[in-house]
Amino acid sequence: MSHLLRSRQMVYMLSASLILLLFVLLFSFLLLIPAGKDYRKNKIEYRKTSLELNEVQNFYETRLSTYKELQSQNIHIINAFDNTFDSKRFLAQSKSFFSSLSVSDATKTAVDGFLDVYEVNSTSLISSPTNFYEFVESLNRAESIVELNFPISMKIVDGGIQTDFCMKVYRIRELNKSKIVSE
Amino acid sequence: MQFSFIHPRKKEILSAEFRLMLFFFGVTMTMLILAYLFLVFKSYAYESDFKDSKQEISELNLQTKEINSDIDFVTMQKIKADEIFTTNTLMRDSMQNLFDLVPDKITVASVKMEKKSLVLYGISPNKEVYEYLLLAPLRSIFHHSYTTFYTMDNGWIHFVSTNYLDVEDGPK
Repeated sequence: MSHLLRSRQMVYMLSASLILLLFVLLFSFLLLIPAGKDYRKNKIEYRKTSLELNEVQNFYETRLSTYKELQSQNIHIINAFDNTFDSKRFLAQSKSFFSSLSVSDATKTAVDGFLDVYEVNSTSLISSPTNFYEFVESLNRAESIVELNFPISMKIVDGGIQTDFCMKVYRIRELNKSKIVSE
Repeated sequence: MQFSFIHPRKKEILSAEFRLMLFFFGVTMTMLILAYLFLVFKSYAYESDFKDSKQEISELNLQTKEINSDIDFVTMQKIKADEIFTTNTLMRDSMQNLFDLVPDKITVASVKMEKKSLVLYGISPNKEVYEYLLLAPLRSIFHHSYTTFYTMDNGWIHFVSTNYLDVEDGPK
């Protein structure tokens, strides 16, 4: 009787072992190994992308810092190109160089690449040519981008030198920036 | 009445050894399932992070492109502004040099400057003074110089000096 029981237990154990073996094999080949492969593949892809992301991030930060540096170094130029020429402000800022000064309103005359070009005619009275040199030097610090242009005429009159001259004022065209750059 | 000296043992369908074995089998299967779940979860996490990274890369590339465009635009502005500032400085220097050319003996009454020409109206004690002290330096700058003289009542001469640069060339 005991021998019979023992042999039945052995059958149970053998059956359970076979079931486990079958389960382990099926589970491994059908689920675990494919999942492992997916895991490995996704991990490698993620690491590659992560490295790429780091490179792109570093490049972005380098370009951003270059841009900010460039922007801070040229803030006067950037603002000056954006400003609309205001003849009253210009007169107020330049009157110290002249005994008298009058400027016409800015008239758009041309387009130069990404810039609109306006022309301003001016008549003035100066006490000495030195005042005019100083005025021309001050144009590079003006609120707008102003270029002294020909014709320039100077004539001695009572009370000083009458000076007539022309100036070009440059302002950024009202266009999409990317379009300007691509042009 | 007693037929045996020992107490009957309780009969069990599953022996203690078999139950222990089943327990270890259960542990094994649980570990396998947990390993599978771990792999599936981590794989999903990596895939999700991968997609996020790709999205971020794409956004960063777009932003970098915009910044490059901004850099190009500021550079263009700087180049143009530098050109204009240089022109202003050159204009100032040219005018200063022109007035420095005029000697004390000669009085210039009027100046007309164009891009390629210069007209001077002035008074000189005589023709020689004008020719030696003003015309000579003007000729070294301009390609063509023409002068008209008018004698004044006091013996001095009034001159009109017209000077040109060739259109294709810059100053000599």
